[in-house]
Amino acid sequence: MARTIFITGSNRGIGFAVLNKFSKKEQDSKIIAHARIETPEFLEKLASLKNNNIEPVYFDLLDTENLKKQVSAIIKSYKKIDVLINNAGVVKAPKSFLMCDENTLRETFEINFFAQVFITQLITRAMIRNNSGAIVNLASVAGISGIEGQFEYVASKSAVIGMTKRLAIELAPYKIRVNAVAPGMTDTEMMSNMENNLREKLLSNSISKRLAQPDEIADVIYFLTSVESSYINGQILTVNGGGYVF
Amino acid sequence: MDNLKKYNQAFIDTFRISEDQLQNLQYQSIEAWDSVGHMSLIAALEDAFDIMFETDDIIDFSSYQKGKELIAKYDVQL
Ligand SMILES: NC(=O)c1ccc[n+]([C@@H]2O[C@H](COP(=O)([O-])OP(=O)(O)OC[C@H]3O[C@@H](n4cnc5c(N)ncnc54)[C@H](OP(=O)(O)O)[C@@H]3O)[C@@H](O)[C@H]2O)c1
Repeated sequence: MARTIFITGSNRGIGFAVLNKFSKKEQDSKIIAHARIETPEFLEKLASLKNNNIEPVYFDLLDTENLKKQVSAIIKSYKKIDVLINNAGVVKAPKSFLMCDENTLRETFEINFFAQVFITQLITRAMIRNNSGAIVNLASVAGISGIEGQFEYVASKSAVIGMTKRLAIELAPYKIRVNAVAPGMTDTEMMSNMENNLREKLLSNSISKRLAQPDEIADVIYFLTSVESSYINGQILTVNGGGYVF
Repeated sequence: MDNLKKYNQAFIDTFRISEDQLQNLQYQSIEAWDSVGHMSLIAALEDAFDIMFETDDIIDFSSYQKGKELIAKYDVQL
C-alpha cells in the first residue's frame, strides 16, 4: 500500500538511514524528507536513492513560526499523512548540571521536544482524516537510564517518552499508534558530543561491545510503522544491543 | 451547495444529528461532540472549505455559533 511518510532530520545519521529504508522498501510511497537547510551533500544523497517520490522540505526546528507554516503547507498539499518519524534531535557539548546555562537547556528542549510536539500536533490532524496513522519518536536509552548523556539531553528524551505514552492514549480513538525507539549508542555524528571516557567505559561494559549502526535503528523504526506491529502501541522499544554489565 | 449548507452538513454528518439541533449546539452538549468528535468536525470543515484551522481557533471553536465567527477568518462567507 502506498503511504505518505514524513521524516524529520533525514539528511544524515539515523534519519538518513530511515529515509533510505523507506525509499528502498516503498517505491510508490510519497516521502517528505525534512532537513534544516538544502545542501549539496543532501541533494547528492537524495539523487543516490533513485526514488522520484521523495520531496525534500527545509526548515529549522528552532524557528517555530516557520515550522508551523511549513508543516501546515505540507498537510494542505498532501491531505493524507500515514507515517511521522520524529527523528531530528540535538545533543550539546558535555557539561555538568550545575554548569548548564539557560540557552543550552531551552535550545535542547526546543529541538528535542517542543518542535516534535508542534509537528505532531499538525500532522496528527492529517492522520485523523484517515482514521489511521503511525508515529515513531526518537527517544534514547539516556532518557530511561539517565546515564548516557548530559542533563538537558536526558531530560528532553524523558519528555519524549512521556509524550509518546500520553499520545498513544489520546490518539488511540483515531487509530493512530504512537511508539518510540530508544537507541543505545549509535554510530553517527551525534556520538562526537559524548565525553570520550564515558563512551569508552560504556562500550567496554556493554554486552555487544560495539556501537549500533544507523540501519539497525532504522529497521526497528520501519517495523513500528508497518502492519506487522499493528498491536504495538505506547511502547518505548530499547535498541541497545542488550545493554550493560557493570 | 451553498456555504451555510456545507457548514451545517459537517455538523450533521459528524455528530449524526438533525438540522433543528444546530442553533444552540455547544461543545460537549451532546455525547458525540466530545474531544474526539471535535477533531472529526474540524477535519470535516477543513475538507468542506479547503482551509486549515489554526490551533488557537480549534481551541476556541466552542459552539455552532462561535464556529461561524471563526470560519469567517478563513474567507468563508456563510
Ligand atoms: N546517535 C546516537 O547514539 C543516538 C542514541 C540515542 C538516540 N538518538 C536520537 O536519534 C535521533 C537521530 O540522531 P543521530 O544520531 O542521527 O544524530 P545526528 O547525526 O546528529 O543527526 C541529527 C539530525 O537532526 C537534525 N537537526 C538538529 N537540530 C536541528 C534543527 N534545529 N533544525 C532542523 N534539524 C535539526 C540535524 O540536521 P543538521 O544536519 O542540519 O544539523 C540532523 O539531521 C536524535 O533524536 C537522537 O537524539 C541518537
